[in-house]
Amino acid sequence: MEPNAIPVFSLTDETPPTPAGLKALDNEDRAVITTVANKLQEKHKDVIFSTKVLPSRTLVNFYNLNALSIEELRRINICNHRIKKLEIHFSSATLNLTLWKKEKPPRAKERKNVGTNETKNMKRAVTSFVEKQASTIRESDERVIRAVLRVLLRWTWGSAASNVVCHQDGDRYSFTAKNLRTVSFKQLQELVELGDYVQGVRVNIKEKCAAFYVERTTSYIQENRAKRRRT
Amino acid sequence: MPLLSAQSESKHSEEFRSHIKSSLCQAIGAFTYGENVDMMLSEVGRTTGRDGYIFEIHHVFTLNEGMLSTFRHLFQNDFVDDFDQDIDFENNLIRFTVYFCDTGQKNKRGCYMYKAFFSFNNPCLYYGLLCIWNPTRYLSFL
Repeated sequence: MEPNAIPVFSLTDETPPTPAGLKALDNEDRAVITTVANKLQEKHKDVIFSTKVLPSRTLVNFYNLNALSIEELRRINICNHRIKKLEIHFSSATLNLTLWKKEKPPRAKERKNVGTNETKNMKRAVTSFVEKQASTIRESDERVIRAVLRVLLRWTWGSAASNVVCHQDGDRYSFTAKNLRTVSFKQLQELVELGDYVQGVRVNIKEKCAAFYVERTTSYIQENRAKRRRT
Repeated sequence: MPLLSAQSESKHSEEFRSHIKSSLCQAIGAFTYGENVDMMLSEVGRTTGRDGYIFEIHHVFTLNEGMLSTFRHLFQNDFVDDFDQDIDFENNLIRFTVYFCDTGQKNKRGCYMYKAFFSFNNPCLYYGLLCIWNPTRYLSFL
């Protein structure tokens, strides 16, 4: 996207954006962008955005964002059914939104089979990390931590590896994944869906990292024991 | 800070990385003119799955086949197993993911194959087997 070609509108100004700049946008697009921008503006006062209208979709980039929580992203995602992609690009420090104008043509879905080598490599990477952090990770929590690490590894698989910092503070493990390139809402959702023990997922765009907590609960420990007893 | 990657940093990969970086720097230097005067190289980091490294060339405003083929030519080395090339038009950058090959393992594999080839192609081996099978018949030739 060429910076000169994009109309950039400030949301902090009381005066509405120039009509000339909005002419390129449809009414529907304008409504969605205004809703999302208002939601973002509640917490981030200096947020500005740029748009690019393509025949199939409209790309919207939001700038001047410091940190975003999963709740905020969830609220943006449910704004409209046309929001198909919600990604955070750390290199350009933007939140990218893709609005599809029409439905994508139906395409046969390819089932991606993860090769045995890849699975082995993932397992090896997670194991080596857990071994390095053996002093901080308790044996009873290892299974949960492995699942969390596998999700983090899937985020960066095929691209640059992330630096993961793990701290234990009582019954809480705090994770910070640094050196990330992009994170999508779906990926963050995948992490949250692991269980209730993953909490406080937030993305810091300025510091280019994603942070979250893993709460130590008795539920999964007891589940593990029950399974062991059965075998 | 622990890196979440399947590959650990080795001496070979560090050597390869520095070699690739220096050659990329030289190649970029030859193309920094006109609109690409601000072109710069940045190291993104190690790859997760295989032993490799990601490099990015920023501020690329004009791109031609000559430039791309020069960059591609740099990766035709013995120690480069494979590479991926992505052009990000939005951010005006080219991303190269270079996968290094494990030279130690390759050499070993070659060595084993060489040994196996010569041991199984040795006629003495088959003559020996024949001698064991029927010593009276085949030992008489010696």
